[in-house]
Amino acid sequence: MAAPPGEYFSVGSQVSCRTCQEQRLQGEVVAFDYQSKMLALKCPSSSGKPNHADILLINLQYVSEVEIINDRTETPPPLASLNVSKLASKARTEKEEKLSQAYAISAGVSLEGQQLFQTIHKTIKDCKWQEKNIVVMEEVVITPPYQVENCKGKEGSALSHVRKIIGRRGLKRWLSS
Amino acid sequence: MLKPQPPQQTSQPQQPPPTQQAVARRPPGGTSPPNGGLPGPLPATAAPPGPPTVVSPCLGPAAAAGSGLRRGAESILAAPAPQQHQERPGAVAIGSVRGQTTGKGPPQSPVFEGVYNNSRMLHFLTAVVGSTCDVKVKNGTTYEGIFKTLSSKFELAVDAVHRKASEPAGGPRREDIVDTMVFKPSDVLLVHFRNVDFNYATKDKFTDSAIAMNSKVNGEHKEKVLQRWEGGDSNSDDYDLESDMSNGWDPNEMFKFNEENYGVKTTYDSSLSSYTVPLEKDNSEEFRQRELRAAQLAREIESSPQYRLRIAMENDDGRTEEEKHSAVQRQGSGRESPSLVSREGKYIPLPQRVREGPRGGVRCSSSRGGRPGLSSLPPRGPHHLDNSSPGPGSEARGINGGPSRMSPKAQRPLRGGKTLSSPNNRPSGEASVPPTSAVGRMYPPRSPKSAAPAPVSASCPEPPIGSAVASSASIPVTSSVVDPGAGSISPASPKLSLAPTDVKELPTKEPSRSLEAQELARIAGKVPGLQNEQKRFQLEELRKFGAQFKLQPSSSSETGLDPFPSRILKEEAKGKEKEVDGLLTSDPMGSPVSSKAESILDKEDKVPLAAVAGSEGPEQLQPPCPSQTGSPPVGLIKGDDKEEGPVTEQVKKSTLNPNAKEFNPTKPLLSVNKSTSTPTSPGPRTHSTPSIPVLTAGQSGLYSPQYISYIPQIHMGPAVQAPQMYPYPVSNSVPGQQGKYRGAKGSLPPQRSDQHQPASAPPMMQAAAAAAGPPLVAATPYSSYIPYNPQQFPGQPAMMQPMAHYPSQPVFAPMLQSNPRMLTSGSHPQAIVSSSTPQYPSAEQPTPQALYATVHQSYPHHATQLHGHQPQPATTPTGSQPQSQHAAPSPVQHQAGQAPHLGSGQPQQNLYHPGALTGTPPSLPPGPSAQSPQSSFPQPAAVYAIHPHQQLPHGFTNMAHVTQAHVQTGVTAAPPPHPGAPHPPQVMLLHPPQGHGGPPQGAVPPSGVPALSASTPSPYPYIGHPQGEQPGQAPGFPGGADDRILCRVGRSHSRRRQGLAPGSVLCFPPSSLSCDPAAPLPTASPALSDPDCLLT
Repeated sequence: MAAPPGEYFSVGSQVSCRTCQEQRLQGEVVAFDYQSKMLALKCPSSSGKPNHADILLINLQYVSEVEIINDRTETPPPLASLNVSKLASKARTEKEEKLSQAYAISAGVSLEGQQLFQTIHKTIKDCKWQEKNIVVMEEVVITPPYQVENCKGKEGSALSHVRKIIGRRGLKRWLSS
Repeated sequence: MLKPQPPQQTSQPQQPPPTQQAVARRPPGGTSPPNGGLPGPLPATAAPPGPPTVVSPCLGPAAAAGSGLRRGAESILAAPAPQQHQERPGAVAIGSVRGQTTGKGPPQSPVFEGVYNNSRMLHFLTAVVGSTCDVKVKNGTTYEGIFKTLSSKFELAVDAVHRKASEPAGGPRREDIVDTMVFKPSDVLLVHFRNVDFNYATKDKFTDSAIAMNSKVNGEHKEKVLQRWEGGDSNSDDYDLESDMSNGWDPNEMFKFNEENYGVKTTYDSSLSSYTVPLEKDNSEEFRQRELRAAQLAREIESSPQYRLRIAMENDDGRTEEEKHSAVQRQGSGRESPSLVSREGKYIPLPQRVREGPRGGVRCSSSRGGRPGLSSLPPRGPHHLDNSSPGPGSEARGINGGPSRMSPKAQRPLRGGKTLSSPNNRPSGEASVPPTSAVGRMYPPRSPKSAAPAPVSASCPEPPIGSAVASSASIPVTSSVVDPGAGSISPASPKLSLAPTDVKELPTKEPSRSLEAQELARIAGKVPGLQNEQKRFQLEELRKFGAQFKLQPSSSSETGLDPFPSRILKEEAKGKEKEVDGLLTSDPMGSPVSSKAESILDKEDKVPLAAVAGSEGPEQLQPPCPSQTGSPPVGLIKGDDKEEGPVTEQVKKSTLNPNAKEFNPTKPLLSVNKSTSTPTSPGPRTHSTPSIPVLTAGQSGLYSPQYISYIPQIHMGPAVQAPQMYPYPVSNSVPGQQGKYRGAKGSLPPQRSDQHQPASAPPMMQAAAAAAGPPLVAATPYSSYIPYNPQQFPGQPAMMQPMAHYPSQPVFAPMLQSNPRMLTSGSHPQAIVSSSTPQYPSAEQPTPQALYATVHQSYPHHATQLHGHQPQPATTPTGSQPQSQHAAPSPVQHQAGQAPHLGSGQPQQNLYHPGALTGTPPSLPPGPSAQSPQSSFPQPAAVYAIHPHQQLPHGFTNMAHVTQAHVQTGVTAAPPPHPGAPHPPQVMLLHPPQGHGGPPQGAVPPSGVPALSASTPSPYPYIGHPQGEQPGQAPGFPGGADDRILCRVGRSHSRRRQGLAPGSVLCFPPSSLSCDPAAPLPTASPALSDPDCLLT
């Protein structure tokens, strides 16, 4: 039915697209589906991590111009097998985290609290919301207004680490002001 | 306005089916195992043809799918008789679909459709599952969510979706998040997946944890069988080491070996003529004085401390490198060998060697008697006795003994001296006075002569030896008798030698002893010393000497042979000792092995203990929550125990698998948090219940009567169920429902949060806990059931429980239908209001009848399930086989993907079985009681949050009933996918549908009780009649349509106040209708009401 994708876009080639909304998108071709006119491009990660990447799924029906910057005719590498259960658990975890954060926001947590949670979450994954309180590793509890003196819990590396983070945030804000 | 809105609504109902298809097909398209792949596509293909088959006959010409669906629904409602007919053809269609699927079974490739054929695209989209993505649609709006899956038609399913605002001041609020949203490819402009790690999901088969998981089968915790290590090579190794310890060969032996085996003759000259010049020995007094002077100087130099320090440093203070740098301390052998080595290996400076040369020369003259002294050491006793009578004789012998001791060191240079002195001896023989010296000198040449003739092999040397002996014998006698002056001279020389000999005796003793022990060849040299002594004393001794002389060669050969066997024996002994040591070391090696095995056993024992604790926790927690207020703290304590259990397990696992992935520890930690949150939830629940009545006195009044009304039903329900056989499977399914019920509370909290912020937080926790809890329960119990199948009684519940899990898939569809509508209604209130307007009046009237119908239908489905299961294991052994096949792969996948969860889940499973078996009766009463208060609790809260009017709570109760219907219909849908159920897709579906199923599960208990009581007589006839199965299946399909209708009705109620009045009416009819046995009548009534809507 559908023509082989290879005849339209070579995997690994650099492509630049312009959408009907005058948005410029550029990346490496990783896959193309003729039937749905979907083109998958691989771009540098928005977070800047070298081992991460962003995937753009572009609907060519709404693309006004496609330019092949660098065409590659090499045979694409074989596809590695994926651990489906691992992906499923990841999706579930991500959803739970997002919902828990949404609950906190609905509860009236301030923007500072949200940012603090994000900062702590970057270094300590075991971080969750409990009403308006931030619970870290089930040991440290940070109550509003989320200052160093609001940190309470079992003395240990977790508590000192959290206080250090809050202290740095305060210092940064003071310097910026 | 109305025209554009309808297409949006129509798009919603279409979303759920494609999602199921995508989820079901993804595993086979991705990397599902062949077993899983086979059944996978079957249900996938079965699902999509369902709606089109139903729609196609009704609306063949319909161009728009959405309009077609609507018309189909309307037609069903308008014509009750046609509905019945359609139901039957629906069942037929299902049958045909099944047949098709079975036919398509062998050829898997044709089963895949659309994007599923594009392995590359499918691979990358599968890899980004779980990543945050931004979806930009045609109208320019951007939605952010977590990518979940895609369908064969490239429809994208995204979870936790919220509209992205132009000014993202903060994160989205709970109210702004839609649980699941499906996007059509034609509506999607751009999808941006952020921060994707392609290595995250790549299967690692070369890590310890991966290998361990792969080796596991059916959840069995098998440990690799350890084999005892045998040190078979230790013997040879020890022998080699022992041989290495040896001091090597004697240079002479090596020279002989090389000459004999390789024909190589050494050019080494012991006299070192090429390096030095021998001293010319004269009898002049000046020479003697110079020797004395040199000896004195040498003694002075050697006695100086500097000299001693230098010598000590060169000889490493008598310690070997092994002793210095090795951490291993050898026992006896170690102590002995290093000392020997050090002594033998000691470095003697050349100056000493050179000095020894001339000294050796001097000693040669003195050693004439010295050698016999050394050899005579053992016979000294008798000699001393003989000498005791002649005082001077003894002194002379002592003098002779001194230099003899020194001789061994100088043997080599002495030999050189001998060879040189031999020509001197010959000319000196002519002189009369020197005859004595000549005699002494004549002896040394004998040994070289004997050596020389061996290679020469000439007969000439033999006669000269004999003549020499004769001449020497006669000469010494005459000299001793005739010349007394010579005698006087001789005592002077020995006196001079006494001093140096005394000094040298001490150091020489030690080396002599070691030399004797190691170098047996020197002993042969000592033998000739004996001859000298005998000659001097008596002729008879000379004769004996001659006899001994003859025996010497044989004795020397024996002595030469001795050293080898002795050394070999020693080596063997040492080797044996080392072997023994090896055995001793092997014992401790064995002990650690046994200790490891014991530790493993301990761990295995501990795992079930933790499992027991884990399983006990939930069982005990559930009953106490509703019954007593004090139960929450008890539950909390138990929760703490749970935390400890898994933590210790994690620690052990970490120690066992140091290379474990970072991902593993994070999962167990999350699971631990979730488990802890579950026990904490009961506390806030109890607190929240009193808060609501306090806040609203009026509503509290309404709440109390509802609660009271439900309680009596619950009490009667279990009593009725207990005597029946079916109650057992029902009780088994209860825990699943309870899990779902928690999810229901989680969904309600957003409303509470609006009014009661402090109370809202706990519900959020509950929501998270519910989301986490259900998947564990769903996944783990299934694998645990398999091992219990052999048991007769538990076999039944095991069979039933998997059925309970299968419903999760079909539940997903109805939940999607309901949730998206409700949620989207929030986002588009105007559209929903306008759309609900036409449906509202029609929905009001048919609602109660529809509810009743669904309730009735749901119970019969349960009965059909039981009936279907019972005959399979008993009458159809082939049926049981496929079941086992299906069961086998699922646990493996669960374990592989979710090892840490399984670790915590397995204990629950193990505990669950004994609890269910032993605690079946007690579980029944607390289960429904726990559910009832939970279900009643959220209702008033929701009602209060939405509308203060009294009528609204009734409407909400209707909502609860509607959700109950959804859950029940989902359960009924389970049986068809069971035969060909794809385990991998179930894994994917189990989680989201359970979360969605929360609210409906919460409502299940009240509806379940009346349904059971109402249908008490009906299940019996179904079992008896085989035809009953068909009607059971048929109602399942139309149930879906009813669900959709009910969903719309529910929404309209929630939006319009006028609906409240009809809601109150609906509350009563279900209870009254439950008494009526006529089931088909209620289904007809809603259809009748529809034409009114159409007319309006």
